[in-house]
Amino acid sequence: MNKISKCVIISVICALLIAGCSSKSNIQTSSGNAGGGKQVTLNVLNYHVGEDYAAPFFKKLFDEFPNSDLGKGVKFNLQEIPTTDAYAQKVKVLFATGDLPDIVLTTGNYILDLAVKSGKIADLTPYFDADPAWKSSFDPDALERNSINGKIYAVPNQKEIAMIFFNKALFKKAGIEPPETSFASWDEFFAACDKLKAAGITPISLDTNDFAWLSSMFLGAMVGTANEAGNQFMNTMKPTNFNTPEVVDALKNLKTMLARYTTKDAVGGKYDPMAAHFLMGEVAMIANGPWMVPDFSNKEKATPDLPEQIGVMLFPKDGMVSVPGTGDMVAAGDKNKIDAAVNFLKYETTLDNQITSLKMTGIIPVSPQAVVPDDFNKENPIVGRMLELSTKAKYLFGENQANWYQNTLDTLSRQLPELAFDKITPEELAKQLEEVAQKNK
Amino acid sequence: MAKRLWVLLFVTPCLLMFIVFIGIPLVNVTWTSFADYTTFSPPILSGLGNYRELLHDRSFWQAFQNTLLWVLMQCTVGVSVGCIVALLLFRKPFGWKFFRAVYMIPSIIPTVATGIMFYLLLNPELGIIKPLQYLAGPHSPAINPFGNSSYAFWALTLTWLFYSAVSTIIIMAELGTISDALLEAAKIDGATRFQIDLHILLPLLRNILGTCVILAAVGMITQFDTIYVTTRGGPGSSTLNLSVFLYNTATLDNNYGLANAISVVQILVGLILVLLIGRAFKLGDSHG
Amino acid sequence: MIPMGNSNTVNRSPAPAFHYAVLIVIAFISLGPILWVLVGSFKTRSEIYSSAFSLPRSFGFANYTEAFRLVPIGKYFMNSLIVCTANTLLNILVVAAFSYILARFDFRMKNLLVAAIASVMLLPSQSLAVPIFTLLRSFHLLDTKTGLILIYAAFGIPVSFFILRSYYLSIPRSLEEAASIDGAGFLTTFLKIIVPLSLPGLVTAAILQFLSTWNEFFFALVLTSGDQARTVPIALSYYLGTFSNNYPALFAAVVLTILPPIAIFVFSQEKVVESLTAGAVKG
Repeated sequence: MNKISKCVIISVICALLIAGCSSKSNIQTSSGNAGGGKQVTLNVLNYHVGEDYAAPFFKKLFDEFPNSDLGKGVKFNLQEIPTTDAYAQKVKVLFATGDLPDIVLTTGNYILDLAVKSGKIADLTPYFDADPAWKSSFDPDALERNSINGKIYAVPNQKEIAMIFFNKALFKKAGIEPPETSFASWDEFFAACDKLKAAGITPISLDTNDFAWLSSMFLGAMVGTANEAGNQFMNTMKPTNFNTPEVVDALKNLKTMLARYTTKDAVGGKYDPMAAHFLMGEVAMIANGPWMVPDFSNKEKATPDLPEQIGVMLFPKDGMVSVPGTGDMVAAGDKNKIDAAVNFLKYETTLDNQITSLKMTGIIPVSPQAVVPDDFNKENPIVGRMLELSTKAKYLFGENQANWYQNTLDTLSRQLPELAFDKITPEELAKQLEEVAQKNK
Repeated sequence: MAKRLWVLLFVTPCLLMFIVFIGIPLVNVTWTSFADYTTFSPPILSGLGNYRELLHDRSFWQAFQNTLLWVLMQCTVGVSVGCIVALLLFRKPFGWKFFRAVYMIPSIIPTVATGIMFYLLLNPELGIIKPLQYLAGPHSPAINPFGNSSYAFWALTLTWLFYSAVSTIIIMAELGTISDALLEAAKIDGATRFQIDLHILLPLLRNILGTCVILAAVGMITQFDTIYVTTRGGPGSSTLNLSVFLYNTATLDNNYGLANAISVVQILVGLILVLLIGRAFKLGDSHG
Repeated sequence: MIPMGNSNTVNRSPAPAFHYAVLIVIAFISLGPILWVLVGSFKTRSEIYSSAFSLPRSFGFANYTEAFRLVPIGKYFMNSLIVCTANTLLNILVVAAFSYILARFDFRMKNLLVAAIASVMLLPSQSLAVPIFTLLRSFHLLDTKTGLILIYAAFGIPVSFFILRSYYLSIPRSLEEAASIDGAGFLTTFLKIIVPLSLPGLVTAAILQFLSTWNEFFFALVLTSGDQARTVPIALSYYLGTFSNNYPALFAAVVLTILPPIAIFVFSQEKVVESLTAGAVKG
């Protein structure tokens, strides 16, 4: 027995030695730099692929950039990562290992502060200073949002807006006159919900799973239009003070909405089937952004007559979600690559491309200077109407997926069902959100 | 002499693979569990801080409890179902090959598809709940399996509890090695089929049953996909297990140090279970 | 078979009807999912969301063509086939030898070694992503099939080990002792006696290793970046988008990609049965 034991020990040592040698014997090959030449290859992870709503637009960008003035000599090494979930996972691993792509596309989640702290993100301020025309095309708020301590680290490429879509036929059936821009108060809004319900129509599409996107829209709107303090709260990045009267009141109302005004499957529900209820004309209202508009005329998803039935209004009290987008970052590395990457981001945000993006994806331009052509509104009446309404909004506020800590979103998503089924009070939930948010340090 | 060389040759390749691809990462996970370490900052040793944080986290204890409960059910009910099916199929009833193949199919379908299926089947507007609700009367409270924390844990349990095909095929392969002579002899002695199963076959299956129980326990400790597709650990923390909790800590909180501390706890809990199961089944002892 | 005296206790086996009741329930819960996915692959998106049980209004292969349009499934499929076959062979080869030693010989620290191996099964892939990524990078194996094959083979060690060890343990030592008296060496005994007798175990371990790597997503995501090494699970996520999921195309892709593993399973089980005729030894 002892001999066998020795054998095993010897083999362990052998194995360890070989393992040690093989990891030492590796030579670190530094990625060959093309030197003084202009030839640059940019590594990009692209999640706008497959079913992604912006896939065709990004394909166009990556195809056309190398042929543009800005993109001379640039080649892409594109890596496709389907779904933002998978993309976020992979990018985080790459942050930890230090193998970031040259351009880090945004997923809408705000990680800029952490990314900058890691020291792996390039400071883009000199590029903005060197090109005042480009810099001035951006909304100053948008640049502010993408800055840390006065330095710009990311290039925003969209403005996120959201309001309420409603089904005119169902409103008519319930005898509700659609308001000009919005219901004057939340009480009026809930009165309309009661009317719809009385007519046997489910008033609102809501969800709670996967970060509760649809419910979050209304939660944010109720807080954001409550008063000055609430509005400020909804425009704060990474808030930690959830235990406020505005949040508690909004949670109370959201509880009522989940219990009375929505489909039976909303609690525990995911976005996609809940959106389908609206697309199939079963539910009267849904809150979302312009990227949903192409779905209305998608025969696979919506009833054929839906496009004519769609109306748009602001949240009650003329409220609207409006967040300057978090932008794409450039990973710090050799100067040629940073130059080329910035050139791509310039190309992505030319006024022409912002309009192309609006046409292809429904994304609202981040630059106030991007002029929407007249024929656009005729071809896209719903988005046109949204752009028109956006100028009339009195309360502007952010939405929680762009602004809040992710663990707070997760807690909200998991606790909303408990709220709906009376297993937790609005006060307790607000306190929990506060506790969780404060855990981030 | 030659024998020792052979032992060395037999053991080394596997150990080499083990040490390079698992040993090194395992050491990494263990030491960083004692460090302040996030997605965006390198690890800095910080003592027991991560473990202390875990002890005070209510979600962690809920996840811990759920994990153990699921392990317990899968090791008892799950493996029993697998074993019963194996014993039934061993009698070679008409069509047994068909049943054997069919039972395995759910384990082959990617979880993303079965997860969506269970999610939609148990959806109160679209699935089997609606007819049930109709029978229960129009004014009964809505039954919402994945949305209500009173049911979610059990709804999820049902999505995997009876799918023990892995145990079945492992046990069947072992049953095949039992000699017919032994069974015939038992029959001649007047044993019923049930008695043969209970007193002859089960004792012979001791080692393999132990293995099945270990694999079932491990499967539940590392269960992630179905929970992630259907409930993500909610409502509340009712379906949170250690794997989902770890995922949230790593990807939502960006806290690798804490996540690795959860890994270490998960490994330790698992090892204790493996050890206990091994003891209970006298695993590793030769039959003959 | 021979009727015996005390007929009260002989052959009073439970009624076959009861057996069939159990088996039919099993068949029902097992066929349900695959039939559901199959039906779903012919529905439209709005049909999927109108009822979980409805049948498609029209029958056509639009979802299948859509599935191929969105992703080069064929390519990913071949990758999966190569990666899974290769890692299974490697895994079984290495573990078959290793677990034989652990089943037959006692040595110090054996329990510790077994515990170390068991711990692998409990390692969450999430927490291994970073170290494994760094490791493969240093071997220049990122984004290669070889990298995936090695990682999968390594992570399959414990499951195969536990299964194979149990099989070896149930083979009576007397057979090897007899062989050794006949003058057979270590390797001959292993190859001529142990391997044939444990073939059902080897095949079972292999099929489980194959299936578990066939559906592996996380390492495939983190360790590969291009079409040359990516596997089927990555292809499936192409059908899921931030604001819309193309479930019909997903189901179509699932139907196409699970047929081969099912075929392999059925074939391998046939092999198990064949190898069993080689001779039963227990008793």
